[in-house]
Amino acid sequence: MNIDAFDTLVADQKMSVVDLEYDDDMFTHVDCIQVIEHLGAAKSIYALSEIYRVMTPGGVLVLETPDLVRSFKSFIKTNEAQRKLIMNWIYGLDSPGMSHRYGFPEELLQRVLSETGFEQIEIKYKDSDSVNPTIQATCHKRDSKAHQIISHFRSKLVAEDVINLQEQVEILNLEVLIYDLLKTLLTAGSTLTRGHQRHILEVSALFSPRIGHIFFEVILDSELISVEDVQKHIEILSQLQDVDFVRILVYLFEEMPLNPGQQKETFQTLESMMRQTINKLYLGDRTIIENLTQMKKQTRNDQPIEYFTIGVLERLAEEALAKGIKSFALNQLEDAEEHLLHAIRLNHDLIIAYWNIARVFVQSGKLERAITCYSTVIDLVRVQYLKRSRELQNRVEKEIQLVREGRYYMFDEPVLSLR
Amino acid sequence: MISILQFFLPKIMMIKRVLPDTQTSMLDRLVNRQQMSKQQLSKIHQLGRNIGLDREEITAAIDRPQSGVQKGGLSNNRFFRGITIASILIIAIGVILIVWYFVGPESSPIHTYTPGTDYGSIKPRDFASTDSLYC
Repeated sequence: MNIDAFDTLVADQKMSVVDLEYDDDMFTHVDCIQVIEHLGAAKSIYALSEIYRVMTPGGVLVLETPDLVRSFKSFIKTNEAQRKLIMNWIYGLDSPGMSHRYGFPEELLQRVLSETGFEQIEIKYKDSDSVNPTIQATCHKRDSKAHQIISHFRSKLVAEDVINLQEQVEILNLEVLIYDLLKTLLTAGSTLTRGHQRHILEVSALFSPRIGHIFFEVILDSELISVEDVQKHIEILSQLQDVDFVRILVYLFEEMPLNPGQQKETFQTLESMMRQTINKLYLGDRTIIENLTQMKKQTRNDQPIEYFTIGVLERLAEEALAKGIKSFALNQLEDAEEHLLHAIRLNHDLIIAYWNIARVFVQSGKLERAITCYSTVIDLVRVQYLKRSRELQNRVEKEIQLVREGRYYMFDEPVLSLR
Repeated sequence: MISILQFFLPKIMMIKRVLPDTQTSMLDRLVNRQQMSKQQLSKIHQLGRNIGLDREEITAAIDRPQSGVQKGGLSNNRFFRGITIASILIIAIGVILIVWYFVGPESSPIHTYTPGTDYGSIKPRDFASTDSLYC
């Protein structure tokens, strides 16, 4: 059976490799030839997961993709005419579905295949001296219930349109949760104990109750857990979804004490508190939902937030920073102050936000607050930019000195970069 | 004690990047213990109460000794043990940094073209060659 996402001239069926319309355990042999480089890093994880799902245990997967190492070596050694061909091999063609979105060196290919659930991975190099050097991986599907559940989980996320496979950062954020869930399943073996179930509930609720809800639906069919237990967890996750728990988590993070340089620690403290909350909910404390419902009214509702991770907080902080810098450039100081303070509340380590807010405070005449922010910049620079800390410190200290001398006009523009 | 940790904080942050997660958490707890003010703790407690947590639960979440519960010999032992561990850690970090400064990876970087690596077979004359590899 030959499938292709775009072509029907040669392919038997038009079908996307991330959403295969086949049941589990159908195929004993799959060839995936020159496909994954067209998908991108995130999408290829889901493609391999789908292939895993539809294969029988022990089935063989043969995968080929351009060999980047040998391609670049050839590129360096050869002439212009050959280089053009090698460039097409590395980057693909500029037509729908033909461009290459990512590359897979041997070590990355082995890791992705292994994490998907394939074993006995053998790597061969084909056509190494040509303009089309290829790396070929041959592997077998491990007979693993845990990996099969995870592949079902990924499939369901795609089928229900819960995730956007074009958003690579979000997908890779989600991989952190999926890896945790996989580890839990592998540890659990044939039965998920109460401890395992509690852990899955906690980690998935803290990431996204909706994702957690879907995961429990997937493991319902696996006989690892009783129907009653699944229903209880799904009920808790539904309640958390109803109160928009992810947005509450972001709000709570913004309300945590501002601790420059302690972004990760603040995040972990909040996570720890919320684990306690989820545990209380699990034990039947209904006041938790009432409190969260009240808190929901205080949250911002200006943009969708799907997950709660440090990566998401950093992304939101960057967006607020961009708005703050734009407002500063337009001399809208009040708006700039609001956006930049918001950025700092989302990412306590964002040096460039502190620096910009210092300048905004200078322009607004709030000199003491400006000096405090400048001091924070110096403290953060000492920790985050070890090699350039002296140079950056000198820049900031010079700026402080000029501000104290009253030369505010020199800093009426935003800092765009720390370079 | 606080000023010693603050002084070494940049180097500690550098070491943290290469430590396993469990040890970075331990290091964080040692460093953090010095850094949260009363006001900050009070704010966290307020947030926790708003969610519905009680004092013990909030304290457990931020990993600090509870007042009125752990006073006396037990908390003193833990305090001095903490001081001892922190001191040993600081001395160890100092030694590692000194050794690292003289013999660290940056002082003798791995050369891209070291024989035995993939790039090792490329020679400078390859760039000047006009012969096609494939003619």
